[in-house]
Amino acid sequence: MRASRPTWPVPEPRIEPPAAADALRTRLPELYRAYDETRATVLEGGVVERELKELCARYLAEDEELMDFEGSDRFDERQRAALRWTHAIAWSTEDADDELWAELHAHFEEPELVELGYFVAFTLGQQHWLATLGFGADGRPRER
Amino acid sequence: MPRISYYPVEKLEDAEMRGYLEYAARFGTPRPESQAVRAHVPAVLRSFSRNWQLSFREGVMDHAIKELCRLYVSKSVECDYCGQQRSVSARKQGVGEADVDELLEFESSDRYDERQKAALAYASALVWAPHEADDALWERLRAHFTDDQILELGYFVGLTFGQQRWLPTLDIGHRQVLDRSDAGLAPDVARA
Repeated sequence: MRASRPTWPVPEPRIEPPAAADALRTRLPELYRAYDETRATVLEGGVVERELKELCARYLAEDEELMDFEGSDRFDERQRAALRWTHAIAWSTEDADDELWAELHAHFEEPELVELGYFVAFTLGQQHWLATLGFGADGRPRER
Repeated sequence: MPRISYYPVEKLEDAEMRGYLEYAARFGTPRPESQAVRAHVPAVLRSFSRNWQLSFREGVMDHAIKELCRLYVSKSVECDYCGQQRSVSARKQGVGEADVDELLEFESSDRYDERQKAALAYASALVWAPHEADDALWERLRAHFTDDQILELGYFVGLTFGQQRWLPTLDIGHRQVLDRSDAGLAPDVARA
């Protein structure tokens, strides 16, 4: 005889399940390991503060709170320079002119620029790839 | 001059890091200049090199098709530095200059078979309209590829697309680092 359905409250998961996008990545195990290392050493770790990188990732995902960053006083000059470069990488490479590069070099050391630029490029590619699979920028399936 | 200096590769002490630059000088795709920028941060150089090796040079998807998609992205987003490079392996597998010339008109060209066109259509969607990758495109892909091949192709196209948006902001050029050969350069930029 089948046990009756439990009536006790179901607890929150004690261990966070992997994001759906990660479940897809693990279908290619070696590549997943390379991605996972990248996440640890560059996307989340590294020499540039994680908060700034997350800001750039939100801008790439066209977060409405950030799209008018030029007209907002919420961001300091270092954040603005990073967001301007992010915009140039994603939409308008010709905007990476002498003026922008002067700002970038005023606020970042060269290793920081390499990591930030690579972060933006890598994240841009991942966001576009995941979108073709029906996922949002957060790695979760989009609602239809 | 590049907007970020090339790391002095002769000062790379770590064998793994030096190996990535040596490989670039010998075989190209990528050529050494972009790697010398990444070399400022060993984790970045390793990340790109490992992801590139596993998704482009190796993997479950035909390398020649991935090279066509890489060059489609170059032409499409106008990354001259990347578009002037050629995979030596793909060339050996039959990808010639005539195949490169018609990439932007791949749908109407009779140079590409349906398998290549499906992959190129996916690359185009990923770059320009990823949210519009619809059922028709997925049917087309699944007629020719396994799910794992499609995943790898998309991961790779995403990787190269991102790099090809970033690198043009850096103003890097060929033959500026470890310029020992024409390995991996397109005929029109190789030495006569």
